[in-house]
Amino acid sequence: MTGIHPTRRDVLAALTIAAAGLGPASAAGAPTPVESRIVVGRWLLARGILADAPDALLRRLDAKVAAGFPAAVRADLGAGRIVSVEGWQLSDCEAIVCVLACHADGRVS
Amino acid sequence: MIVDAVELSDGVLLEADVCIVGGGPAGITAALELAKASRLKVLLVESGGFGIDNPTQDLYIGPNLGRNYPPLDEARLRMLGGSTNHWSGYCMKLTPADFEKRNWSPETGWPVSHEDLAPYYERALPYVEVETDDPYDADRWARQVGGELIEWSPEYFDNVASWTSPPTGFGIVYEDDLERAGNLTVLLHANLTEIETNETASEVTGLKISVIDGPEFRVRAKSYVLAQGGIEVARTLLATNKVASDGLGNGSDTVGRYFADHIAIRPALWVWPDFPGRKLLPYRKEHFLDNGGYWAIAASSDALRRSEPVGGFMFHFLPTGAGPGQNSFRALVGSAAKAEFPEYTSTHVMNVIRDLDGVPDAVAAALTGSGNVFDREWIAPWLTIECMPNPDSRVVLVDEKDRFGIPRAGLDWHLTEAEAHTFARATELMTRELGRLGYGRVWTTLTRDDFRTPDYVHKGKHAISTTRMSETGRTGVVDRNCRLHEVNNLYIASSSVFPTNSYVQPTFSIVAFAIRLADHLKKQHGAQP
Repeated sequence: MTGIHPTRRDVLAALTIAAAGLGPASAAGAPTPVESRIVVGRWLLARGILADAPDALLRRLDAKVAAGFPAAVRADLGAGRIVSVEGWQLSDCEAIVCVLACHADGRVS
Repeated sequence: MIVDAVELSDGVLLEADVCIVGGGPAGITAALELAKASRLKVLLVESGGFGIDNPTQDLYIGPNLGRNYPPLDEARLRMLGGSTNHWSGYCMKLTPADFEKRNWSPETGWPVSHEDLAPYYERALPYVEVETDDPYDADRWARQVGGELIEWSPEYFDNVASWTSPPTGFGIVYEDDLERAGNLTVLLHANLTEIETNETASEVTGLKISVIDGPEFRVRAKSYVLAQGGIEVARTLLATNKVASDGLGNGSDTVGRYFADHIAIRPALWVWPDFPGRKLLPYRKEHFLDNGGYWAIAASSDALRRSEPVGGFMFHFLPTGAGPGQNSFRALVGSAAKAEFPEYTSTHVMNVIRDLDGVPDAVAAALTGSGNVFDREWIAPWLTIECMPNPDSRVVLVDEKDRFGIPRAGLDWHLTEAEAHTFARATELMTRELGRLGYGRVWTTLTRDDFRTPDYVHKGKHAISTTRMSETGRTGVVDRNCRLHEVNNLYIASSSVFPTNSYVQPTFSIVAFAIRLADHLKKQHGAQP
């Protein structure tokens, strides 16, 4: 497995990057991961699937990611803590990151 | 020997120890087993011949009165070998939980156990021409094909071996055996038109048999076996109403009720796969070996069905080049041609997954490079489920009659919320397990709160449970030996006796039960064993 395996520090750093309008490089014309988080986060917020409560979400995320983000994803999915986004089955912690990305970017609605 | 009944004289009386009606897998197996190692005189009466002929096949015509179902004269074949002339050949065993009473479903529970049937499964293997050396050790055969089984949580899933028969066409493969058996006569083109009983309908005294545009004659035997399919056997009993007005053996009003089939959604989900090493190999296709095809199946565990109200289910993992959501997919393809994405969040969701869940670079490249995330191999599991017992799902007689004046069968098939729940729960559990293991990410609509069983679902064309086996005559039609509770000398060899339908295809179990019935009849008639 390769790719980004963010811990809480990474998540917070990523959110900061998002707020600054930066993010990992992507192919020309394709959305960056941070842009995608924001799109998905807004989708979740618009439907009230996750509460618009960034402090509470951050605490919830903090409790999940002690062993690393991929492990948190595994644990959420295995326990059925799943959020459906137009059929895609996301883990709760992925969904939280998306909502937090909206807040970090200031594009909540 | 095999005789065309058209050659018989009108009005003749044929006599036998055992007369079997129906030359499908159950009837042929029972006949061969009875004829083997005994001196019993056996008569096997088959409506059709060696091939399809329209006047005979038309006897199966009947209306669908409930849910969408294939035309009844196309779902079954009325010829020697019966529906094994068009079966897929999948052979799996019922599991122990299939036979047990499930606390959450009062109409489950068989009067026989998995252990009772086990030796007959062993004997059934050669009949369906599959591997006979410990075929249901799923792990052994996974290694044999160079793969490894997935470590599912045992409270949810079991790895189950499915074996694929050639598929054996019983009328073709066993024609020579039927011809050679000295104490067995097979009558072709011989249609059962009436079951004659004594004045209390507690004993069959004879059968009236007619040939289309040919002779009519009678059969008298000590024991009779109805080895028809699950729709036809119910029709036969319901139409035998001269003495018992509600139908023969129908004091419990269960003849024809509880009709069940296996239904499937293909696919139930799309998996963006990341199976490590050789984990997917045993599941992703049939592996054809010297003695049949092996396929590893992810099925509901017995522990799951014992612990929560969900029917049995199984997933066949099949690769596909088409991504999830056919409508969305088509829209995506159309938009891709114009170098733009539609209003659809999949790209973003998958970008999130790629970023946070660390999917392989090759996959990510497909996402962020070409832009078309669907242009890759997906796994699209087919989900087949058990339908729970439903007395309102039934075979009934209709006013229209066939050429012999026998009322036709109508099928009033229904599903309930139980089936929708099983589809949804199975998909949820597969999503959870793949996520827990890190083997793939899932797209599906089956876990939505508003999911309902679609109008169209795939059907196994397996007619099951219409003459259920039960401890007493109050709740079913036949006893643990497949004898009608109310009729001393009438037996049934058919999937119609299964009280529940499992997720498992029925033919292999039908053959096992037919061998068991033959053993029982040998004992009843003082023959071996």
